[in-house]
Amino acid sequence: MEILVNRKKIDIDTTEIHTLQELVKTIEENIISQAGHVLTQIEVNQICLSDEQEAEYAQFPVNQIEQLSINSCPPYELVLSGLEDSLQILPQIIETLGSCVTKLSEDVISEAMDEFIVATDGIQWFTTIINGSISVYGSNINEKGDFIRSSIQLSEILNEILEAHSNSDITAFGDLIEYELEPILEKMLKQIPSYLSELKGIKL
Amino acid sequence: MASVNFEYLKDISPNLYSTLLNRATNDPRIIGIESIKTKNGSANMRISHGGGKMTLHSNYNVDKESEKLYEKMKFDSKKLTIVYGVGLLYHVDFLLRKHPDTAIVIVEPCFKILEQAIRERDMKSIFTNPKVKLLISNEPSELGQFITQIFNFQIHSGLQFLNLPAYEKIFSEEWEIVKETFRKQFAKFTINTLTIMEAGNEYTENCMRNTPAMQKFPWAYRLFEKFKQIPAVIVSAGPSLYYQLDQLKNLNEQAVIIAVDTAYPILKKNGISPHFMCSADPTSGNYIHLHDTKINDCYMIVEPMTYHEIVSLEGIKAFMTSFNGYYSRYFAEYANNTSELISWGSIASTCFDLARKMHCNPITFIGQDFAYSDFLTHCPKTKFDSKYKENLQKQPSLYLYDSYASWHIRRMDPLKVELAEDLNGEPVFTSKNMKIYAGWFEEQFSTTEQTIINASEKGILKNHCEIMKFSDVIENHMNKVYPIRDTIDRIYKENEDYKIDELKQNITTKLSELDNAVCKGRSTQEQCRELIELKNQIDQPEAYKRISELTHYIGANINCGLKDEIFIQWIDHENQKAELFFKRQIGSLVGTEMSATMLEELSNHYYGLIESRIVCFDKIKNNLKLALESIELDSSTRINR
Repeated sequence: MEILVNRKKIDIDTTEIHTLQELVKTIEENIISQAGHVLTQIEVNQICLSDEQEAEYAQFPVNQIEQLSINSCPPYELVLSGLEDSLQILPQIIETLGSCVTKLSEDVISEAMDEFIVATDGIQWFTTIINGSISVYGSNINEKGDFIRSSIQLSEILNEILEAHSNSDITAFGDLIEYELEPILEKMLKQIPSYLSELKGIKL
Repeated sequence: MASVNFEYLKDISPNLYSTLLNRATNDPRIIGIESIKTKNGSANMRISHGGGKMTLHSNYNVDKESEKLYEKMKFDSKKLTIVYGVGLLYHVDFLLRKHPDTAIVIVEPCFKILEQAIRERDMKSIFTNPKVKLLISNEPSELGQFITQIFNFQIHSGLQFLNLPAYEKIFSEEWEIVKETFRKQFAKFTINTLTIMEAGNEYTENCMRNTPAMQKFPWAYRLFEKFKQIPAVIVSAGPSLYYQLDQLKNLNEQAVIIAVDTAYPILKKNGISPHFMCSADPTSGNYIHLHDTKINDCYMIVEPMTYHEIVSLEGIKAFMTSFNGYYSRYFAEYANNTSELISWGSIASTCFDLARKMHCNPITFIGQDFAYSDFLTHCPKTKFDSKYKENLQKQPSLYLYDSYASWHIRRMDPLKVELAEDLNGEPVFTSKNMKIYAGWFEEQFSTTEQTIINASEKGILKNHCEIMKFSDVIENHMNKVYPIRDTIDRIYKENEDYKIDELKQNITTKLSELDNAVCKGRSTQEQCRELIELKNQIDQPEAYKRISELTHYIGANINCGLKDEIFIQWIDHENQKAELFFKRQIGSLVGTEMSATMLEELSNHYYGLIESRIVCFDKIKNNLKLALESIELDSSTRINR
């Protein structure tokens, strides 16, 4: 079996290791964490695993692995690239929310909810990036900065949406998406470049 | 909590005012109502109900919300506008800004919300608007009934809805009941109206051609109450009839057998002679079942509109009835008794009403499926089957792939087929119309004193009647012999019912009245012309006086001197579209300021209305002449014999 970490070949004793999950854990603990990195990608026998596939392949027998390639990077790189990606992804989320609002007003509630679920996945990913940035850069970030204040507002809005949804209050639900969630995401989209500059200027 | 003055309601609706003032209603559907404000400070409310909390209007932009609701309704001025939910009336305000003259019916299913809403926002402008009707009831079926009463078939082309989403959510079940009640009531109305309108010409012609029969045959009232506590069997031609034929054959004067016209040939072929056969189809459709069958073994029940070839079939013995239609109402007046029977959608309804009025008891239905039982569209062995046989004869190899069953299935209209549960709890195909017919019968059963039994053993007719096997009905209820046929024969001979000479005289008078009406109409049209000539002289006192005299005269003589109510009914019937159009145009001008244009329009519409009536008088004259000719031809034929 050939094992590559960030394209460099490494040697690991696999005699006591039986599954892919155990092997990845060993590499994470002994190599990646030691370098202060976080794991970003796993490729098994030239198959790049998605999040779902990672779970599916967890019990994959080590003796069937011909090649394992693992990529990692420092956490700040992950945060910065995530924020850069969000410049492309946020407009798509906003568009999906717009379509959700239209369908709500057309009374096509189930289709509207489908759109909302898609948008929610994106928003969840976006909040993970924001939380990651706070976790990585900690007190170095300006707590009163526009982006951080917007992110607090976003969290409040999401809670209100959740409440409206649990009450089946379709009027408030549509209102909050149209007049609160979409505008705050648009606002944050504009704030991302300066937040990125702020983070890039911080020496960790 | 806000507290807007709603004293204005005191004058408009004192009862509503007192109800809302006292907050007397208790509504278990509403847990609480919270007063909230929109982002710009307008009133709004949040309703706590069993399923959560619901905000009534947008908290951010009520105008945009109203606009979206308005766009969704796709406003059509010809439709009746229904608003489901008073809310705080922002949506209604918006609609009235767009269409100030549109009539609106607001349907409010909850007093509790209105109690609060009226305190939150000043709604006076809507409540005092004569174009707005407010229906309030916690009982949704009542709301549906109200809408049916307001809906005018001749004015409205349909309904359109401006509904608050909050109401659709909180009161969704109520909304379904409102719509369903309206739909059912409306369907009942349109089915009968359309049947009559579609068969309009045949209907009238039959009435006229059948005039001799009104004298020839006794009227059905003679049969009423003459069969007290004698069982009756109503035989329809549904697919299940096939299973009951053997048992029916063995019934010998143990029950009055009343068959619908399509079932008669099946019975005849199986050696069964019903006592009565009802036929009222004004078209030649059902004639194909009867024209080559000798009807000498039973009495027909016919209406003036029954297809005239059926009424004049050789050897036919019949009793006359009236469904109280435009012309039959007139002819029935010359009988000793109008002998009215119900006709609703299916001729089986007439059979049922006859049994009911004869005081038969119990009344048993067979072959009354209102469904495609066994995937059959009709009872096997009827005349419809000859088409199948013809097809096979044309292409002898067809039987290899086209079975009798598939031939039936292909006759079902896939667009109209609906799935229902039959009286055995099994799924069966039916149609929307058949469902409506079944519903009508069930409703009638619930108000009928006699015991009603459905012994069809298949189909969807199951409520408000006993479901039994036909063999059990015979064993339990049809175990005595009665002199049924003898009684009918005796009654039939007592025929001195019709005053044909009085009818002839009245027709002659009416023909002369119609001639006078034509002259009167032409002279009134002259007045219309004079009115146009004066249109530019409104400011001259003498001309103004003459204009007033002319408009008064024309308005008073629009019936061209015809006073008899029956004429007005015939004109309404024969001249329906023109009446509706011109009267509406004239109505829209009444009360407007007098001007040259207004006078010209008014005069033109009056002229047009009279012209259409003159054409209509000719039609009525031709109809009455046909009736007179038929009477005279019949009497000369009898003399020659």
